[in-house]
Amino acid sequence: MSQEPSLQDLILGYCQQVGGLVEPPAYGIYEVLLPDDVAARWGFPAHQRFLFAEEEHRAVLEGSATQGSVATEGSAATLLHYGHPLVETVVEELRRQSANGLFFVNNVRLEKPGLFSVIEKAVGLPNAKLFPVPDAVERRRLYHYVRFNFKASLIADEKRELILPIWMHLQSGYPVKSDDIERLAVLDVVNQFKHLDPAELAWLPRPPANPLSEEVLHPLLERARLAARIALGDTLQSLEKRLRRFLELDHARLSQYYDDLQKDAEKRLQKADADHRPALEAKLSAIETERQAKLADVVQKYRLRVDLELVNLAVIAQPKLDLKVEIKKRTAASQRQVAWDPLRHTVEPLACDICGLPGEELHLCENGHLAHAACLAPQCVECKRTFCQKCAESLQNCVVCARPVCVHSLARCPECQRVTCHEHVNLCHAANGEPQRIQAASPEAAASLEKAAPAAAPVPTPHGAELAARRKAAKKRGIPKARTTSVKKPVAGPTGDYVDIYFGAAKPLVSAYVMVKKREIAVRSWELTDGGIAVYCQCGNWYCREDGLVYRPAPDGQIEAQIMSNIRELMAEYHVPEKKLHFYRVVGEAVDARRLILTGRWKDPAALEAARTGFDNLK
Amino acid sequence: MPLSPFNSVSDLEIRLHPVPEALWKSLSRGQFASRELYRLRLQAEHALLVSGFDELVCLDLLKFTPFDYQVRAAQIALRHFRGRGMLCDEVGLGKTIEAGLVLKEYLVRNVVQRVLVVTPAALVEQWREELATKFGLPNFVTTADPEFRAAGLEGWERFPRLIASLATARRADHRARLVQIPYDLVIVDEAHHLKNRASASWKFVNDLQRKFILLLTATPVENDLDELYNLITLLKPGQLSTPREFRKQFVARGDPRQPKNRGQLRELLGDVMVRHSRGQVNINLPPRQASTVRLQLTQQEAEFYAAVSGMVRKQLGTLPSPSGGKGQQSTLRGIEGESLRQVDRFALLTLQREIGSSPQAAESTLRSLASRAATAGQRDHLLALAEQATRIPTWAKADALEKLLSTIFHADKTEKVLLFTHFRRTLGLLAERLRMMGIDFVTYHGALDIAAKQQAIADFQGRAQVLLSTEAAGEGRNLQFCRTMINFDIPWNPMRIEQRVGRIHRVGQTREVRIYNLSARGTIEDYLLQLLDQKLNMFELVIGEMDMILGRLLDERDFEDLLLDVWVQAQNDAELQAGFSQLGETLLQARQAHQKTREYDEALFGEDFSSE
Repeated sequence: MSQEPSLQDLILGYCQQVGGLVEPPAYGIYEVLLPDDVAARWGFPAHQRFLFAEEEHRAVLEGSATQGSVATEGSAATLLHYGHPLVETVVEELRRQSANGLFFVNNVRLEKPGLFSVIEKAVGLPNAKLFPVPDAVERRRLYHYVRFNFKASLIADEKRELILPIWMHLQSGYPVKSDDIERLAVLDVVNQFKHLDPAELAWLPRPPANPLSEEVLHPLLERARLAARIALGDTLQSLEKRLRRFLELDHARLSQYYDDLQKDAEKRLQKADADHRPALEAKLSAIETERQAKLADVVQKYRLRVDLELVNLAVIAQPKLDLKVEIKKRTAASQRQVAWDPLRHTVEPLACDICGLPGEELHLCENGHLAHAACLAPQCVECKRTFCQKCAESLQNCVVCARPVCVHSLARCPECQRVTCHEHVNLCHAANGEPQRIQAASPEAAASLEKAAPAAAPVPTPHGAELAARRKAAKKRGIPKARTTSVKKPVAGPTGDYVDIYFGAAKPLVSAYVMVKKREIAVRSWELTDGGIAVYCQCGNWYCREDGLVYRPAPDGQIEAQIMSNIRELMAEYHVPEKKLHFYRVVGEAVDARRLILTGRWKDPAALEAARTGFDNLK
Repeated sequence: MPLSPFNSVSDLEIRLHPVPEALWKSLSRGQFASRELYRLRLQAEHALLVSGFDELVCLDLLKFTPFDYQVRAAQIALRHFRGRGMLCDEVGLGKTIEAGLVLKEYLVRNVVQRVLVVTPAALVEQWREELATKFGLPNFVTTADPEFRAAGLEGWERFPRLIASLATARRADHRARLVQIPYDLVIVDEAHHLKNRASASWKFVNDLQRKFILLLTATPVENDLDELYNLITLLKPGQLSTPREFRKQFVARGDPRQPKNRGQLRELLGDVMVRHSRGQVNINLPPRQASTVRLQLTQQEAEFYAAVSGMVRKQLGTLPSPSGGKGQQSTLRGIEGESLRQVDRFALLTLQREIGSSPQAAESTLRSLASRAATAGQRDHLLALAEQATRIPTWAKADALEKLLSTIFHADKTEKVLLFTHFRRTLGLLAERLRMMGIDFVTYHGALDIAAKQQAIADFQGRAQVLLSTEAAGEGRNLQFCRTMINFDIPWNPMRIEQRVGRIHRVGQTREVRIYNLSARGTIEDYLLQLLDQKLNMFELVIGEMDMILGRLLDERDFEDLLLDVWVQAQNDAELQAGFSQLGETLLQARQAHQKTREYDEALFGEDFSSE
C-alpha cells in the first residue's frame, strides 16, 4: 500500500467511502454528490465541484477559450488545498476513527516436501543438533503479522514527524522486515483458509485463546515500541550526530568563554589586596556556577526524545506449515515448533529466549533455552557447559581466579564454604583465612560473571612474588615516552573498527572501548590511584598482559602523552588505524572532544606525586 | 559509566502515547475497517506530518496574514538561530508578529510547553491581546490577572504560559521563584532595557533557565557598543568573547560607539540577529492628517468641570502617587479632614477623565464615591455634583461633533467615520444624538458577543456611515476601508490613541487618513493634545515610535499618573502651563534621543541583517 499522500486521493476516496458519488474529472474538475447527512455534518452543500490543480483553476476563472464551456456551466469549482476547511473537516473526521485493517494472504501453496531436511539446513545450532520428533506431523496453521502504524515525532530543538510502520510476528513476538512480504503478498479481505487454526503464541507464558485480544496486543505493542528504536536507528543516529555537533559547538563556545572569564578573574585575584579578595573569590565561584547552568541549558536544548503515537494497525493472516522438532545435545534437549513460510519460501528463524529476537544461529543452554552467542553466560571452565543469561545463577566465580564454574563442577570448601574451581581447591583460605588471589594460568577466559564497570572495579592489590614480578616488568618498561606509532609487535588477534576514548572531570579515569560493528570487543581503563596508574582490561583474552598492571605516573605535563601511548598500544593490539580514534568528554553526557584533555586529579601535582610515592612504596 | 554511541540510541527515551480505548475495543470485538478506509486513515495522518522548519505549519492557524519578511525572520530565528536570537526590526514593522510566529510554531510542534513573555508593564495587555486575537493563543495569563494574584508566588509554576512585566518579574521574591523554573521559551520585548549587564534586569534575564530565548528591540545600541555585547551575551555567552576581548577587537579606542573590524563583527552578529528597515520591506502607508477641533464649554459645563476638577485636585493632593511619583504630598487631609482610601485614586482619575467626555458620564462615579464617603459632608457634596451633572442642558462637545459630521458628510456622503469614545454612558448619549441627526450608525463595545461585533463591522462596511465605538474597536479590528476617525474624548495614554489610529492607518489603507480630535478649552485633554500634537507631532510619528519615546520616560509609572500629577499639583493656570510645558519638554527630549539612537543604529547595522 502506497504511503505517498495525494490530496486528491484522500478527499475523493473519503467522499466515496462515506457514500458519495464521484464523477470522473472533466477538465480537471471532479463533480461530487455527497449524501445529505454527510453534507449537513460537514457544513457544505451536497453537490460540489472540486479542483486540485492551480493551473486548471486559473483557466476556469479566466474562462479561457478552451475552457469556456466549463466556466459558464454553473457554479465555480472549489480549489482544494491543505488548510481548506473542507480538507480540514475530512482529515479530522478520519483521524477520529481507528480504522484498523484485517487482511489475508491467500496466494500461497501449503506444501513443502522434505520439510524436516529444509528446517535442518536452515536452523543454525553451533552446539546441538536437530532431530525429528516421533509422531510429529506437518500442520497447516494460520500465522499473523501485526503492522503497527506509528506516528513518530523526533523532538529536540526542532521537530520532525514520520509514519513508522513496524511489523511484528504475532506468534513469535519479534519484529520482521516487511519488504518481501509487501512485495510478494496479495492482500485479500476474505480468508480462504478459514478452516485453519491459529498457531500458538510461543513468547507468552499463558497465551489466551484469541490471538488478537488485548492481552496479546498490549505486550506486542511494547515489543513494537522497542523495535521502533531499532527501526529508527539510522534516522536517530544521524539526527543525534547533528545535535551532538551543535552541542559540541555550543559547549566549546561556552567553555572558552567561561575559561577566559575565569582566567581574567584569577589574574585579578592574584593581584588583589585582602579587602578585594572575598569579592573576587565570590565572583570566581559565580562564574563556575553560571557555567554549569548555561551548559545545562544547552544540554537540555539539544536533548532528543522520541514520541510514538499509534495511528492504527493492520493484522495480516497467512497460512504456514509448521513442524515440531527436537533440538538436542548430550546434556540438554528442547522441542520447538518451526514454521515454513510458503510466501517467502523460507524457514522462519527461531527466537532467542533471552532477547526475543530471531537468530540465524542459536545455542542450546543446559536448561533447554535457545540463545544468541551474545545472550549466553560465560562457559564453565571445568565442564564447558553452556548456560544462557537467564540461567546465570547456575554459575559462580572461583574466589581465587574469578573464573566461572558451574554448579555441576564447582568445589565448595567444607571449611569456609567458599567456591573454587578444581585447580584452586584449598586456596580459598590460603592467605590468612582469605582467598589467595592469582591470575588465571589456564587457557580459559578469565571473564567475570558480573562485568563490573571499570569505574567500580577495585584497585588490584597483587601479593608477594606476583607483585614483585609485576613491578620488575613495570620498571623495565619504564616511563613510556610519547610515540606516534607503537614499537611493540602487535599481538595477533581480532581486528577492531575503531576505538572510543571517554574521559571526564568527575573521576581520574580514562576508558577505551575497542569497537567492532558498534559492539565492544574490549574495554581497557586507566585510573589514577594512590598507588599509581592502575590498568583494568576486559578483552576476552585468556591472558591479558595489561590487566592488573600498575604504571608509575609520568612527570607533570607528560601524563597525557603517557596515556596516549597506552591507547596507541591498545590500538596496535587490535589493528585499529590511527585515524579511527574518537574522544568523548563526559559532562553529564558524552560530548565530542578533539583530543585527550585530562583535568582534575590528573593534573594535580600533589595527587601525582602521591601516586608516584605510592607506586614506589609498592616494593 | 560514560555513554558510548553503541549505547546512545538504546538509552534514548522513546515514549509511547496511551492508545485510545476505542482502538482496543474495536479489535477485541473483531471490528475492522475496509481496506480503503484503513489506507485513507493513514493518508490523513500523512497529511498532517511536519518536517523541518523549511515550512511553517502555524501559518494556516493564524487569524491574519503576516508579511513575507516576517515569515522569513521567524524562519531564520527557528532554523539558523535555533531559537536564540534577536529581532531588531525598525519600529512599527512587527517584531511582535515575528516573535509570535516563532512562539506559535514551537507550540504547534510541541517543542515548547512552558513560555514566559517579559515586557514593559504598559505592553502586557497588548501582548495578551495580540497573542489571543492574531495567533489563537487565548490562554496566556498575565501577572495582573486575578487567578495569578490569588496563586501568589505559586503562580509562576502553576501557569505554563505567562506574560509578566519586567518590573514585576525581577522583584526579589518573584525572581527567586522564577530562576528555579526551567522555561522552554523566554521572550523579552523592548530588550534594550537590558543593555546594562550590571542592572538587576540583565542579571534577572541571564539567570532564567531557558532552552530558547528571543530578544526584541528596535534599538539594540543606544550609547555604547557594550550594550550590544550585553544583549548578545544573554543569547549566546561567548559569541562575542569576553567583554575585554570584545572591546579590544570591535570597539574603536576612545569612542565606545564606534565599531572596528566591522566585517568580523557583522559575521558574528549574523548568527544571532535579524533586522529589517522600512525601506527594505517597502511598507509605505499613506500620510495621516490630524486636526484638533477646539471648542468652548458652556458656562454650566465649565462650572461643573471646574467644581469636579477642584474636588479631584483637593482629594488627590492628599494621596500619594501609586509609585511614589515626584511632587507627592505627605499630608493626608480630605474635604473635612478625613483621608480617602488609595483605591479612590483610581476613581478620581476616572472621574477627571469622565468630565472631559461628558458631564453625564461622571454621574455614576460621583454617586459611587458618595456611597463610600467617610463623612456626610463629603457625601452630600458628591451627590450634589452628581445631580448637577444630570441637569446640564447643554453639551458643547456633541454640538461640535454634529457640525463636524455635517461638514464631513456634506463633502462626501459615502464617507465612513470611526467615532471613538472611552465611556459607555457617553456612547449611549452620542447614539441618541446621531439618531436625532438621522445618521445611519452602528455601535460597538465590549459587551457585544462575537457575532454581534462581527455584524456591527459588516454593517459599518455596508450601509452604516458611522461606527460609534468604545476602545473595544481599538483592539484587533482592521477597519482600513474607513479613513476618517474622530476622537470624541482623548485617552490619556498616548499609546491608546495610537491603537485607535492603528485601526485605520495600517497596511491596506490606500487613502490619506484624517484624524479629528475634539478638545474643550481649559480641560486636561486640551493641554494633552497641545502637548502631543503640537509639541511632539505625535500624529505624524510612525506606529510604534510613541511606545519607544514613552519607554524612555516611564519605567513603572503610567503616563496617566504623570499627567494627573501635573494637573493636581498646579495651583493655578500659570503653574498648569508650566507643568505641561515641562512634560512636553521631557517628551521632546525623549523623542530627540530616540531619533538619535535610531539614526545611530541605522548607520551601525544598515541593511546587513535582513532576512533577504
